[in-house]
Amino acid sequence: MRFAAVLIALLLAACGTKQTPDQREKKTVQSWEASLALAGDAWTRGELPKHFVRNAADAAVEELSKNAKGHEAARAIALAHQLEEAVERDDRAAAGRIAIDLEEASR
Amino acid sequence: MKSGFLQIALGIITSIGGFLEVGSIATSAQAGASFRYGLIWSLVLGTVCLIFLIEMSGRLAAVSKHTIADAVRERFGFNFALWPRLAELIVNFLVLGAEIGGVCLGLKVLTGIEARWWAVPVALVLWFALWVGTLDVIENGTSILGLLTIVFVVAAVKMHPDWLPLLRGSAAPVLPPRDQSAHYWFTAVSILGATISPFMFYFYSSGAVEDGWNEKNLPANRVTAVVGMSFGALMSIGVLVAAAQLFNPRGIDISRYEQIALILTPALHKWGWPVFGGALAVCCFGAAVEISLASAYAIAQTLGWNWGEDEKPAERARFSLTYTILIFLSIVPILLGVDPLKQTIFSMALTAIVLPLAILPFLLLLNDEEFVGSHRNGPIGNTVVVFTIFMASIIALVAVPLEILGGGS
Repeated sequence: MRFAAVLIALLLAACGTKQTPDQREKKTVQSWEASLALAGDAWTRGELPKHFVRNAADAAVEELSKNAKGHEAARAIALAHQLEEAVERDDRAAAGRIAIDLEEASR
Repeated sequence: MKSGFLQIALGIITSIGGFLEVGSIATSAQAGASFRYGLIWSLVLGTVCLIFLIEMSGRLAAVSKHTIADAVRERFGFNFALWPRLAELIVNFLVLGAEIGGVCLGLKVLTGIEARWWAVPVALVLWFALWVGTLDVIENGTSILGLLTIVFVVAAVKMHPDWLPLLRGSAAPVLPPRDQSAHYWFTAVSILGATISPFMFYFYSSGAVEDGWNEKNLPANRVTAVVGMSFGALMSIGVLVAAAQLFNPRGIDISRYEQIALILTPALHKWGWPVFGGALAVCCFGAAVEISLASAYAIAQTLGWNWGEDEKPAERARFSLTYTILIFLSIVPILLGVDPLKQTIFSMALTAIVLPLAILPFLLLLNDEEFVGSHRNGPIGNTVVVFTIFMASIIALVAVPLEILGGGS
């Protein structure tokens, strides 16, 4: 029992520090920028269909609107919309450029 | 009854095809994306415990001709059996909803049509398959299709993992920075919940009784448990490693299935997305079949009703009614727009919480000569069960605060 109590205490103590809201928000934005960069890049190579990129962009906009504020989130949302539009127009050159922008922003 | 070789072959195929489901895909992908190889140990640990518990379920069924739920009721009485069954029913209800959600998401990946539109058709197909199908046809059909999940291992190998850190992560925890500890341990809890699923014991032991196992089936039972579950776990490790290779270096944390769906693209290119969508739909459908039946088995056996998937529905009306109600109620959260990934992760943590209730009877039943005669547990088997109960209790005490601290991060 003592071992169990010590183990629980250690686990909870280890979990005592968590990311600040700012850190979490930054991470969310960066994570979605990188995800969309991957999807956009794969679409330009013909490896993904339109609906896949549309779904990914919609999910990114939904999650970013819910979990992130500030100009970085707004920029990521704008890039997600631009990517979706480029894909709808079948404009692979534009989608490729947006994917590069997203990848650079995610670094 | 099938020949020994056929039983082993089908058992292994069932284990491989049935191991990977929405919970193991989601938790493994999250683990690989957030912590690279740092959580493979939890998959290995969960699988070792699962191998022992599955072998015990089959042994109890073969020797005593009792399923787990049946034996618990007979040995400890109705009142003792009822409460754990109710707790498991609630968890199974959520997990079933998550699995049906997984099928819908797989279909969304394939077609682009929103997941909630698939909920009713998928529930109808699932119910119809259970209503008209026999256990063998349903189980073997979905499991053989589920072999598609081998692509995750192929993809992981094609993505050139670093073998030494991978082996290190398999042997012991690789702790992250302190600010990620809560998320790390919550993910470990979810992986254990996804791996040691109580519904598998009920399904396995009920299938063994339906198939008329006896003591001659014990060697085949052991081989199936060890080889089948190990190969099954390999599929989950494949998902984790592929996620570690693709998402971790790019700093991607998984919060939606739309991200996980990219996992096979670097290895399979234009085939990546359809194979992922198909694999997700098929393996979640297989798991939904198993959970629906396992829940109906457990309830029918606890309440003393007629049960059996191979009987006609009219001959086991209450058994059929149980899975019918469960299936159609479980799609309500999907129709209401509940996030499938959040429901999955929540139900996996809840599974870990009810584990002690589900596992404790193993220790008593598998040491009771009245049930298993000379085939009682040895010291290693008992140690593993005690360790699993201990670990599951710790998990139960820690999972809720961890969810508050780390689940959402």
